[in-house]
Amino acid sequence: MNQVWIQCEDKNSLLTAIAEPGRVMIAGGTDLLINVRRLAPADKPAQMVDLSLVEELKNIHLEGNMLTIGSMVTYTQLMTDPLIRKHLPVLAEAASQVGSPQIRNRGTLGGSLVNASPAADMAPLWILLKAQVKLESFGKERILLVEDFLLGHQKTMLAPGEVMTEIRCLIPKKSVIYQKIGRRNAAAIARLNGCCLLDRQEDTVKEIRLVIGAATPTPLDLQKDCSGWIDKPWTIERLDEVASQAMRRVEEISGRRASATWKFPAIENLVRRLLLDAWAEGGKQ
Amino acid sequence: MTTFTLHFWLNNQPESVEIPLTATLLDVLRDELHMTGTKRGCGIGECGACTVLLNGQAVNSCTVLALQAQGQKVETVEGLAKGEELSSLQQSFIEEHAVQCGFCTSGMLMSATGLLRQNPHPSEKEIRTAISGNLCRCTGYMPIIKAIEKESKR
Amino acid sequence: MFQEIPRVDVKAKLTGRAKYADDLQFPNMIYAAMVRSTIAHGDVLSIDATKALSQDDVLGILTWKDIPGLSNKGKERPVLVESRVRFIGDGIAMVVAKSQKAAREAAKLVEIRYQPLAAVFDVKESMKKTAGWIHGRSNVETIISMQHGHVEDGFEEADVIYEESVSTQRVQHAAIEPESAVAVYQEDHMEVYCPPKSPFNVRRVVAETLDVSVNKVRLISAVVGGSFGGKDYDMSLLASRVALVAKRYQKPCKMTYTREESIMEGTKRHPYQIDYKIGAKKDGTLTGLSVQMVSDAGAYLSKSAMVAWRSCVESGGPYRIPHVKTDISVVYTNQIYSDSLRGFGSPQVDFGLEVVMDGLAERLQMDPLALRLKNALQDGDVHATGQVLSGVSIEKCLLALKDKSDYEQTRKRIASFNRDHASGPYRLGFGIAALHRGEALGAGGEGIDTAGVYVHIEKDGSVIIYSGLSEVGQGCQTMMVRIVSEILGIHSSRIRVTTLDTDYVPDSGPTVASRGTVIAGNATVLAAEELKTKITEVLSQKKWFKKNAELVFQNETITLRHNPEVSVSYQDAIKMVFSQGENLYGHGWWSAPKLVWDWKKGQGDAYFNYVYGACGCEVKVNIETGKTDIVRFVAVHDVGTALNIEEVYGQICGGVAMGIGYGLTEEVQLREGKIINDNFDTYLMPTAMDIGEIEPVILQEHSAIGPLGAKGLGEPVTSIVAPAITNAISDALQSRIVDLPADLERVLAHVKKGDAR
Repeated sequence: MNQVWIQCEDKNSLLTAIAEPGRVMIAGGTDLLINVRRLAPADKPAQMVDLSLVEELKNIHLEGNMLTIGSMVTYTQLMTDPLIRKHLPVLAEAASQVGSPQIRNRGTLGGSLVNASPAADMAPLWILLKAQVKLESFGKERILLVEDFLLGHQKTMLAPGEVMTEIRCLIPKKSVIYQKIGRRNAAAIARLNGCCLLDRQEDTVKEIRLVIGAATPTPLDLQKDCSGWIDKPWTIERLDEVASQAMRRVEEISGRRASATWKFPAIENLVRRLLLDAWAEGGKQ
Repeated sequence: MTTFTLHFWLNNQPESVEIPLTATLLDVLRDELHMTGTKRGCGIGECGACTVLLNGQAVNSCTVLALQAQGQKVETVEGLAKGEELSSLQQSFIEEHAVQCGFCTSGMLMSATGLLRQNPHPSEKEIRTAISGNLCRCTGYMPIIKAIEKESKR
Repeated sequence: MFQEIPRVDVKAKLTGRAKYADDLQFPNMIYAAMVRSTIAHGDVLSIDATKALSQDDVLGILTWKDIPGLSNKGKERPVLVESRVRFIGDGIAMVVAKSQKAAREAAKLVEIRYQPLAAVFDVKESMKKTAGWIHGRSNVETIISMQHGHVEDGFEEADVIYEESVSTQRVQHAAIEPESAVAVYQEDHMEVYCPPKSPFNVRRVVAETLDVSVNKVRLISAVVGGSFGGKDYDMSLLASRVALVAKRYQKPCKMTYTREESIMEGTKRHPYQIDYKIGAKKDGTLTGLSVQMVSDAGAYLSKSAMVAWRSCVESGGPYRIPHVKTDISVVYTNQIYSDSLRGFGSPQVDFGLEVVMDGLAERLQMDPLALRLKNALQDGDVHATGQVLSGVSIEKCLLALKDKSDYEQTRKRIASFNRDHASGPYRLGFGIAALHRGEALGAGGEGIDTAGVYVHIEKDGSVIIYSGLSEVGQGCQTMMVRIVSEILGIHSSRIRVTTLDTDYVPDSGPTVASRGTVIAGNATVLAAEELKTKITEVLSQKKWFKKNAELVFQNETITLRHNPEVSVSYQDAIKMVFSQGENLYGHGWWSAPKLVWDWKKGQGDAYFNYVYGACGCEVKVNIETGKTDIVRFVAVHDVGTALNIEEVYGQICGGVAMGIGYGLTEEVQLREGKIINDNFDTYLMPTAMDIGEIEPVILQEHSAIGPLGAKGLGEPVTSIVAPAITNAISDALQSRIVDLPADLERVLAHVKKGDAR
């Protein structure tokens, strides 16, 4: 195949460039180039399209309650963006725990979603926020929930000729709790992560959203498992119930592996911790 | 083999070089331009020995596609000193004995330079964070943290 | 206290101009890449290189048949295997190409057919093998013992007996520089550039491989990007491999390993399984200790027996124990082989014993520090080797630790935190550890512990130091500059240390066992003293010089001690010497005192000196996740007279950081002999965010034998970090951690049911 290198500076030329079959898109490259390094010369990409210069894909804006984030926004940009820090600080917090400064300076939100690692740092949050991604191809666009976009380990709904252009979500009315468990305090892959949002009136639960990541091929949404709680009072028994339910859900999906001796108790503990912290947070005005 | 022409700014000088499509920025610096101050430690963006500044931001040059630097500004350790005269950050590294085997040093200097340009008076925590993508096996980081702290107070 | 001097090699390292092996370029250079065994045990039946050889830029393939000299030697790992492979990673062939990338890609296309043999990965299983051994007729290479008194008597005298089994894991040096070497073919010799830890061993192995005498191999050291005990035999193999290619093609050849190759090939720290039995009186007085150890040597011998000997000798710790019995079995398995790694057999036994001391303290309901102080060795005490000790500073170290860590207050604060936060996710804990460690190679070392250093004064008064000891980042060049500048009384800026070149410097053995400062330092002292004598001889012909007058060399001036009015500048003195046709070449050769070890009795004078240290660690443990954070690490070390206190600070911090990795996150994981975490995304070393506050406490108890009173330091620091951490975690969880590393899984498993809430 002829080798091709195309750098696009606007979205239209990008959509034209990727319409040709066999084109490999590169964003920050922090995941892609690790994979490319391992490939034999014949298997390395021959035709590449650079997304990193398309300014239209690097914007963050808020309209009403709808936050729109360009797919080429880096973690560093997310961490430092005043809109994000003001309206949805949990995104900045989660971004600050991704990899190392070098990776955060280069890695993009869109690149990470398309790479679809089960241990992706931000993925549980997108699912909790019911975030959508916009996928565009020449003359077409479609919008999917992140939950539907992610299919499994490095598998997504992205079709040939399509590019993810933005991620959008509504700002929730309560703050979101996020926790990542890694083996060290920087440059760590998540062993588990998760997030929780809890709305309550006095001692009655009004809404719970709970997602855990890195336990299953795609983040595990536990909102339904918490539904028995709605309009009911907060009890420790129910907390334990949800925690062990989370463990069972993971077991159904991933089976019981050698790693389970840590993972199962850790999942229970994580779910409890997220709910406890979210409960405390949910009481704040 | 097809090659592509990369034009970019290297330590404020224009540079052009013919490179293969999938070459990383590190490959180009070391293997094509023989700028060997930037080190190769792991090849997967984990050790930080290959850290350079791309448009002022610290990046692992082993996970930057070289062609993505087209027209961009790249700074390496070789650009820090002015001739024989060391930069004051380099001087701080000497004074705080922040160099042992030296293999992580270039990357550490570049991460620190990137930090201090954006945040001239960082806290100790911010310093630790800024070098958290640079592994050092000799110094236990403490002398390096002190050197950066010293520089930020100059 | 000495004046601060900057590191001698620092400027080149700060500007990117320092040349490490992979930075070197030569005209017409070619490159090699390894084809390695993919099975753990078996025989190579055939090598098919057809596909590899058809690739662009590929020049050829070399196997053991291309080795003119020795391809292997006894139980040592071969340069290239003749037939038998013993672990996944054994070198079978080399592909040569015009670029490193082309060589690597082509190497992947070489097809090897094997006749597999049964492989063994577990030491205990390996010991039982009655056939199919890895070497010779048993998988147990050796059993080394130490016997002091009668251990059964010791247990009989005891009021309390405590037994515990501990284990330590396989870790690696993980210097940030991966191995690289260049060989340049010359008409009458082979020139080799590489980062060597043991330059003269590398030269010898290259000569043996090429079948030439050692003077036909010239090794010039590249800047070394970290060693920690690595780049030793690994470098001998790599240098031999590139030399073979250079000879065959008569061109310069370079080979640089990727990180994955470095991890696959690089030697590791020996994993140990240790069974302890310790007895004590009610008041804490130790009465007897039994230590039964098994060390996993991996597939080849290397220095495994020497490492085991050190473990054996140091197994009783810095404590007075009248009856000790220690045995260690060195066992082969079909896995990556073990060799020297910062600590050389100390970290395993220091971990074991210090964990056991805490366990015993708990059993005795005694404070862990009080138990250690009660049994701390003193001057005149008999060591478990039978040696009578002097210059013992363990008590001083423990007391300094008590003071600097604010021991009692810290314990109280932690107890009240844990009480007040019983429903929260965090527990605090504090743990301590102490050590003694034999200096330099000791009686179990291979050959005699010697080093040579030349110091030349040039006509303009400048000085060149030629040393046979490798600078691996530890600052040994700076140490030598310090010594020469102190003895000649001249400014350090006059002195330069040359690049190590085996053509010009004497064989000074390996940079191991923290021996550089003492052995090479003393040789430097002798060389500088010889120069002083030569200068004195010339000056003594002067009229003002009275018979037997003593000269003082200070501040670039030489003065009469009894009449400071009479002086001559250093510069003028040098001129005088040369004008008389004399030379100013100083030669220093220092041999460590003779030591004797009785292998049968397991007693003897093991080391000419021991160094001492103690440390304390505060941890914060998340009982919901098993994650441990280091809050504070106080490291007390008696370094003798510090030759460069800032560098000592850096050595201590670096040693602690490496120990934190050993304690918490580092482990080379193998599955059926294959390393599964083969890069730094999965082999996890501490970052700047993982080390907490490291607080070095430097004690300076003058050494009777070290140069200017200094002691070795590189390894003791690392050796007691892990037990201090696990003792702290055990304190936090009230449950004893006895295996390494204390990772998420292990720590969470120790959280008591119902505690995490």
